[in-house]
Amino acid sequence: MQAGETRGILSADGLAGLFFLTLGLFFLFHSFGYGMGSLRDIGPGFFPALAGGILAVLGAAVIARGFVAPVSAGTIAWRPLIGALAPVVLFAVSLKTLGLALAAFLLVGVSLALTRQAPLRQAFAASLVLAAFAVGTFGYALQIPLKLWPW
Amino acid sequence: MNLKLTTLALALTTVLAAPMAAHAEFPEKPITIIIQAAPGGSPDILARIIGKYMSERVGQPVIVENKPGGAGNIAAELVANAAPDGYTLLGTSDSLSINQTLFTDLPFHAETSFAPVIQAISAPQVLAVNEDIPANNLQEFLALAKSKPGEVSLASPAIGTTGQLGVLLLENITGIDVTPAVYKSAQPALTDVLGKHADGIIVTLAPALPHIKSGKLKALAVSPSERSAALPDVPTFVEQGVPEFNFTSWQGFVAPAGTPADVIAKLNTEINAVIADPAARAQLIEQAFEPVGGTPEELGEVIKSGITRWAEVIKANNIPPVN
Amino acid sequence: MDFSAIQGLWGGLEVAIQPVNLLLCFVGVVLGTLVGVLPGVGPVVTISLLLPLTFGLDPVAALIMLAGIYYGAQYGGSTTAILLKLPGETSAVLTCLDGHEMAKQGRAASALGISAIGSFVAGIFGTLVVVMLAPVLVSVALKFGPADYFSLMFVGLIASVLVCQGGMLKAVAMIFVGLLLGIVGTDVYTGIARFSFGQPELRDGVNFVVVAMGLFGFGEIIANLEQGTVDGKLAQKVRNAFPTRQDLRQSWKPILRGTGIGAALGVLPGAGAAVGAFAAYAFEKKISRTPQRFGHGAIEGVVAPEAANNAAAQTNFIPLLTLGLPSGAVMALMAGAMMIHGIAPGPDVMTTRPELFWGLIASMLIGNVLLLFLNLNLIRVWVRVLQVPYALLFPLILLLCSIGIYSLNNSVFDVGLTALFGVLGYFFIKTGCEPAPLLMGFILGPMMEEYLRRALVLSHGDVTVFVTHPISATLLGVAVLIITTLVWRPAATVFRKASGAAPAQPTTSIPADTGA
Repeated sequence: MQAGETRGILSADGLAGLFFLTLGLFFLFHSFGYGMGSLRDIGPGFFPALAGGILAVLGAAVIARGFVAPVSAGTIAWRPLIGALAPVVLFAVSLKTLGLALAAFLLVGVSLALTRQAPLRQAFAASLVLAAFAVGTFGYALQIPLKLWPW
Repeated sequence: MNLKLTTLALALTTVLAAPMAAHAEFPEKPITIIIQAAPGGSPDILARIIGKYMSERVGQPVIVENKPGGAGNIAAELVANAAPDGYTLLGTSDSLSINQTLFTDLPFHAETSFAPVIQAISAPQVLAVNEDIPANNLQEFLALAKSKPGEVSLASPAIGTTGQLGVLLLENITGIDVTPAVYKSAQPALTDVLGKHADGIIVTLAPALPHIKSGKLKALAVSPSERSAALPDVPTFVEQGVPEFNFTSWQGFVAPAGTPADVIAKLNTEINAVIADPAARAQLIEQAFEPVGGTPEELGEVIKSGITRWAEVIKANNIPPVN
Repeated sequence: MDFSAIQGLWGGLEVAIQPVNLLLCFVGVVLGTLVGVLPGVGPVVTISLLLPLTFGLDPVAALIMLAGIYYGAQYGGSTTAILLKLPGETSAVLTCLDGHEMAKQGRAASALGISAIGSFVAGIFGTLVVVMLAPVLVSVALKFGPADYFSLMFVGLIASVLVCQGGMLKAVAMIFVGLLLGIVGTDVYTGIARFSFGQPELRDGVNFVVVAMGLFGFGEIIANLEQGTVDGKLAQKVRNAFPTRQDLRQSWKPILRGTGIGAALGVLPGAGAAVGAFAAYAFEKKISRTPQRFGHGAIEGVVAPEAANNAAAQTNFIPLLTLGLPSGAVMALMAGAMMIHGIAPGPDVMTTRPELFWGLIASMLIGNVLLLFLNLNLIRVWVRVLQVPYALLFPLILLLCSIGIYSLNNSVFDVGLTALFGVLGYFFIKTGCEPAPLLMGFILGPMMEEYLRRALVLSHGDVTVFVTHPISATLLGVAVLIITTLVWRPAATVFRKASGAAPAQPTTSIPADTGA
């Protein structure tokens, strides 16, 4: 924490409020295309418009608080963020083409390499072990229908 | 634990793979049936029964994949775009014909994007009301609805089902004006009718049957033109002076268009054999399905006539197209 | 009535202790525990995969095993929630909050033990409720119309504000974020795909597990990696002890209260179990003399929702067994299994197939005993998970989650989407927004909209249904009561500050009354 120096829109509340406001307005405006309907037969746009509108107002209030009583949002730790999530995306992309064994190997290996949590040789061993475990448990024991091998 | 499961799985695979030598050609790998409903729904049960017996026959696993949502269009789109090799099938129903008109801009066409395989079953429809409604037959119900325009509520299972369209069809034919209430599936719709929050329902007979038998629901009329063996005392719509209300709902299987004719023929033969198998047949009848079977061409005809019939109902009711 | 129930139960026990049934009950609960522990792989996937394998079994045996998977998974689910902060279903969200805090403080064994005991008490009690009160409860459940469900969900959302420790404003905003995310997908009434932006995968909406794993599980991993774990492990020291006498003393009342709330709400299809767990947690926090402990490892915050969700898991069978109306995906599969075996689920089951009805019920009692022993013994195994070097543990969690999420819908899109929710989860941690109310809004939002619209369709546009229907009116009254206590306290504080040192007797006594 940086002792709450960040004021206004870049404070924790400012950023959170901005997110709420944007999301609320986004849903509000998109809702109009879906039709509001009548009281006897409420349309698909009514509820999201209402919820979006309220969220936008709440967002504005949260932003205001960010100006009055700011709390710092701290800094972004890019390495853990990318190191944890990029391998998941990689897994998603490779599962259907490479199969579970390789995709699992990649997920574990890349996450360890990116986060620098383990030396390379250990990371390689861990990737092998966990990939074998995944194939054994999900592929063979639980019989979850998915592609296991690249061929 | 894992080890035991693996042994079990291996044993199972061996058992399943035993008859494989007999049919070395078409199914060389698992067949996937993608269905338009969530686990537990009637299409799901149908696919799992057919899949189980089929896998024993062809020596390959038959995997049932649930892709509910989007009124069934999500599953249909997936299969329409799948490789036309017979390894991906769509477990579908009337909604295939109905959605062709109900939705605009569908990325597939009910007739040209699919190669019909077989109609597996048909299911009768029933109009039923809760026990408080002062109507004991169709004519009394119609008179009641006419005396209070817009007051009587009729529930239906979900958008794009024969129930939803059936309510509108009944309005068209008889000139009554009811409040239609659409649900997510048959169960919550039935719950609301049983709880007397909605007055009546048009639905596939199977889920309503136990409640009709227990007397909580009054069955007023069934469709098609023959009475159901499960409810021999309930007259049909046709018998009660509404001859235009005469259809069943069906469920069956289609493959992506372009699937080789011999593969379709093989699938058709196998599923026909399953439907003829006494054990499988008994399980289907248990679900209040009426086993049908037949040729791919017959299913093609059913899909085609369905499109025509439901397009008329949709146009007559000025239902706005959905996209 | 009571006597015949006891007689029936006795007959059922004779069925359930037949070696085959006993064995399958054991297989069911073990399998259930296993898949419950694996994040994402839930009872729905398992039961639908196993369903065809049960065709050849005796129907009683098949149902006993499938039911065992279902309630076994409830036990297993809390294990992952406590150890790794991975909620596999809505009700486990609450177990995460204090359970994982306890684990981090080295009290994982206590948390696991007490939640197994709480689950056991609730499971047994819930089963007995099914035996004794099923017909009564189901007639009450049928009285709930769309307007009443709408109001129930409204109370549920308000209760989820109580769950938060931080600011109320952001908690309310998070509920609305959840409501909006829940709306993504095909509209029940018109078939329009809302907010799916041409993505076929979004037309069926976003899966709950995707949101929960992303916000809780992945968010937590990133935070752990950022802060660094002590000695490279999740918990520094793990006391291997079972729950202490003090734990039990603190827990027994919350267990009973949670059981009651869960058993009652579990009868209602759909949101019953989720609202039950939230309501049980909120209630404990509300009546606690030290509400500030909640969210920092309060044992009451673990056992109350655990008990609620296990009691609900049993009473969930009531609509199925008495009316043949399944109240969710698992129950629908059970109904399918019954029908495949030639049994129409419904009011007749109890009379036409007493051996099946009572055999199943009795097996639940036995199954819960098995689960208690199994889970108490597994604690020693599970707590070692916390001793696994985090460098090895976190890739394992990522892997298990990814596979589990894929298996829900065979969709790699969902796996990618979970990563996106991971980013959002990290953002929420940084900006001090708590994800629990979001998840509640996500679950209840779409149902609330559905019921709101249906209530107005069936009342022909008359908005007064929400206050003229007695159940709905009562629930809305409860909601207003909660809102007053929520708003009153801060307002009273402000008022007291403004009026300086003036004694504020009346203002302090009022919230105490309304809060009761």
